Amino acid sequence: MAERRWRPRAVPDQPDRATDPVSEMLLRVARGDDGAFEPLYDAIAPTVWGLVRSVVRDHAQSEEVTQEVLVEVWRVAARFDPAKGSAMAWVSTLAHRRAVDRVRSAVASARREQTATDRSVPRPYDDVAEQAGSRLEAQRLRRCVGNLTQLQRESVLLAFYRGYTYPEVATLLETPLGTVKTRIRDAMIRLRDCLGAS
Amino acid sequence: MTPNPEVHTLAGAYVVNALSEVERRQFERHLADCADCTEEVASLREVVAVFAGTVAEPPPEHLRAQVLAKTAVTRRLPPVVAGRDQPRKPLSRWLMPVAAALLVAATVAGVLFGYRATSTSADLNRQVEVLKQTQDNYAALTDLLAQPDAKLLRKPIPGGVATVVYSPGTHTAAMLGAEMPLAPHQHAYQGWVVRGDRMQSVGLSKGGKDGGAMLARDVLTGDQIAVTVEPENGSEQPTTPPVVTVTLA
Repeated sequence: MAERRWRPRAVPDQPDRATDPVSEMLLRVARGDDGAFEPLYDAIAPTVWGLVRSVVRDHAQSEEVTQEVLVEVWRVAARFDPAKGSAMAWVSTLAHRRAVDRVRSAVASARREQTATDRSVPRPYDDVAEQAGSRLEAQRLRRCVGNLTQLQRESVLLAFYRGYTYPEVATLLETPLGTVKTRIRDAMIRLRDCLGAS
Repeated sequence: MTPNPEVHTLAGAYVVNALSEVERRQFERHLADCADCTEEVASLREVVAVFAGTVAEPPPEHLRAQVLAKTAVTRRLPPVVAGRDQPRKPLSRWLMPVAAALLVAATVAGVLFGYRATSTSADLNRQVEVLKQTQDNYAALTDLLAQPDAKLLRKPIPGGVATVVYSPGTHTAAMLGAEMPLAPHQHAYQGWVVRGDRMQSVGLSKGGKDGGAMLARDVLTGDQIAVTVEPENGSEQPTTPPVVTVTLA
């Protein structure tokens, strides 16, 4: 079958936009600069791997998902819009979505059953790898999470790091659905404001 | 239309991917019309980046080579050109289930079609490849249908209807074979993306209810999806005039 590559169209320059180094690398990949992907890989792979690992848990499945995510970053780099947030936010969202999809899929249903009663609240900032940047970020996060109410804290951490849906969180915490829904939003807003201020 | 204030409260759960698939789509439809929510979601995603950053750890060494090997053979989406991606009305609620049903039929058929009886290992390898592509296409097709800007373009043809699902924002389109008449004996429909004087094959379909779907990536508004009748293994270039041509709009 004929397989031909369409020539990419010209990209409008966005010289005035201040961006972080990772966003710069991602934008270069989006513009067709092949050499930019390796430094981008080195910058994002630890975050993608760590995040996928903490949600999926199983090592082999985490490797699969991480690989999918990193190739997807390459494939859809053109969709990244620095006006809508940082590259790390974009990459982390993509990785988290894929990780959550994996734990909710039929293949992983065994893991769900196994941990359905696991209501221990993850404390990611207590178990941080040796990277100095992460440690600093973890300190900030620990402090900000400390300002949340218990219900806010449990709702948001269970949803994010365990990949539970908010109805599942509601069941685990024996709390009404609507309450969990608003607590997750309140928690995220408070964390945003606290992290932004520090 | 007055937005339901309740929907707003889903923003947090949306950002941490704690919504069911149905609610996620509902919320994304709402996002398309709600500038405030879009801004809120963008700002909350920076928290997600911090959540992720604190669990970062070095990935297994061999992953790097695997990823680089895959990117070397994976095409990137073309850069988005300013002005091309106008917000569009999402696929209406009653059309979505129609498209989803067609797609399920089409995909299951694609898998079966790929697994005809074989005798040699070369055949078997080829079929494994077909199956893998079918699975990749399935993921891409479900992704396509979930896009808030996905829409159906339908065109009557003799003995059936040609249906294209098109998402301008993700530059993806699919021609669904399910409502097309069966292709003639030992022949198949072959889909082509037509841009200017260039044509690129996007796959084969037998038509009929097990008709499969042909997936076109990297397409732009104004491109055409054409379908020709070809020998069942496909042709390098079209050898017959198109039975239908749908312009992506």
